[in-house]
Amino acid sequence: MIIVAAAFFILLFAGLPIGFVLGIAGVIGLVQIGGENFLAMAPKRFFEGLDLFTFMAMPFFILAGEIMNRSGITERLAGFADALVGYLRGGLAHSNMIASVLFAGMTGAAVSDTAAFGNTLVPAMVRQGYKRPFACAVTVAGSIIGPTIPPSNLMVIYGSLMGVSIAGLFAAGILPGLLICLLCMAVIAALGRRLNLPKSKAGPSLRVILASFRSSFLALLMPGIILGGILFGVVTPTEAAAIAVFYALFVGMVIYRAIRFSDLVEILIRTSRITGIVFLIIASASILSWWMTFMQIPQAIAALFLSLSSNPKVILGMILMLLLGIGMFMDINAALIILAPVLGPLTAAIGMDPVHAGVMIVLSLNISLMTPPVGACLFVLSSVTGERIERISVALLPFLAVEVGILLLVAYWSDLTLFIPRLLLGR
Amino acid sequence: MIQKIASIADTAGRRLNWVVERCCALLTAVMVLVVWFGVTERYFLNMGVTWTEEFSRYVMIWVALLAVSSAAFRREHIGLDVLERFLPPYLRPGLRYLLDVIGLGFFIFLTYYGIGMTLSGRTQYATIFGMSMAVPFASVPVSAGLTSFQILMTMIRDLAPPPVPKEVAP
Repeated sequence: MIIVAAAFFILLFAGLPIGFVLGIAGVIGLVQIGGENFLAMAPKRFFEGLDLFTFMAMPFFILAGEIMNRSGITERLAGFADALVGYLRGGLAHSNMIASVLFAGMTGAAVSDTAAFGNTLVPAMVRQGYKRPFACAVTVAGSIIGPTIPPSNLMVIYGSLMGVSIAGLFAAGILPGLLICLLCMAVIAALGRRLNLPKSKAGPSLRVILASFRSSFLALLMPGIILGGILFGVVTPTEAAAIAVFYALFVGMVIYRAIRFSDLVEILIRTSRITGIVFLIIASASILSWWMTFMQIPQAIAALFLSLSSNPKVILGMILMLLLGIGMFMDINAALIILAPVLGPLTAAIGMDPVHAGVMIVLSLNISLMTPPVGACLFVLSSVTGERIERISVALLPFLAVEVGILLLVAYWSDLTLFIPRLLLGR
Repeated sequence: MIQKIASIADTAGRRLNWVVERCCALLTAVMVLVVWFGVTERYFLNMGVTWTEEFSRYVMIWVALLAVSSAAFRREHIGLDVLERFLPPYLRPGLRYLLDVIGLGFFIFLTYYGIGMTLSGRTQYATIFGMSMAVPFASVPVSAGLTSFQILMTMIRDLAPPPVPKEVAP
């Protein structure tokens, strides 16, 4: 076991891609337990790790997001958000948050949000007089709303692997996502005077709000289509994602006429490449995960946690520290696939509802997207805007504190996550 | 001489990647169309079609795994660069080549054992069309072989990076 762990961490920190590291560590594990005879297991686990219909929701959500993005939807949503809250002090920062919520209904990955707004809203904020690190911090803080409010790729992975209702997870993510938006807006308001954030001279205008609502109405329908279909049991998450692709194509090609056939080829290529990167991690992690199960590592870790304390609240605290700690150093998809089988039984042992546990795990990993050294959102935004990661990280601190606070609320107050699933799904 | 070899490797990698990316686009489109058909069939046509879920799943695996080689060609697979940033510049290429060799070893391993899995799949059958499982299983050795090739080409290419990157159609 020590050799596998050593190989994993050495290769990870040496800079080998995480998808390769997981596979190699898994293969070393197979050799350890069964010699050469077990090596034939590796390609089989690699294949079977992807052989789940529910996983198909991920490429579809990526594709729908790419199509909507290419058809200028991001700008329309940002315009609507600006019409709603742009008149406040720090208006564009508030708009960024609201736009993240609106965008969240179309995208399943935080990085899409970061890249989209890093290219559009951050330059706009800088032009209005915001300091670039602050503009970046607002964008990063808002981008984790995307995978918290459904659809969410991480929830699809967790639900598929652990046999937890994806519809339930999607419903449970809504309130925490909205709370992140509200409290981050409170931080912006609190910092407004101290940082002398710009304030628009124009007040709120119902005419502008209605005009921008009309302009972005078709985009705003998308979350309703995705969530409505899934939550009311009409379609499965994969089918809902496929319908979202159809809708996005219809809006992009027929209504807005912003996408041509040649663009479509590019979009499909980009979607397949993003899918390939994520799915390699899933497939390789399946080899390692099989080895961990064979070695009964999840049970050993669960027993270790339970031996340290018998108080569920203390164990929950340790789980959160583990998640945030590992998320700082590992890609979140990989972390989820490796940790889910460990934490699933552990959270069940302390009496947590599986949907509640799933949302808590997903939110912890989402928060780790904002923390160095491996915060993917930080990296994406740094490369898109040219701002240094260290400076963004410092400006991010108040938002990070608020989001960790929300994570604690989610962890220790189950009603926050389970209220909507109970309401809609009768859980 | 090195420049010329690097240029040949770059062109070979680009041409192969051009084909692979278009295959991925086509297969993604097929996957979308099949699931659309499945949804339409289930809610409106009621023809009792049962193959859409399994077929689209295998297409998804082919797309995702083929795209692994494309991301390898573009060096887009996610990894930490902590050590590289701390190393003096003259040691960085050495580290990169070492990591490339390790990655190459993993994908050659997957190709070799994936071929074994595919051959054993000839006697197993999917529930749809009586198709041999060798067809979906082949996605592993084919994609791992392509990825091995692309890692090798990027290693040779990086010996002397070509001055102007451009998309080359075959």
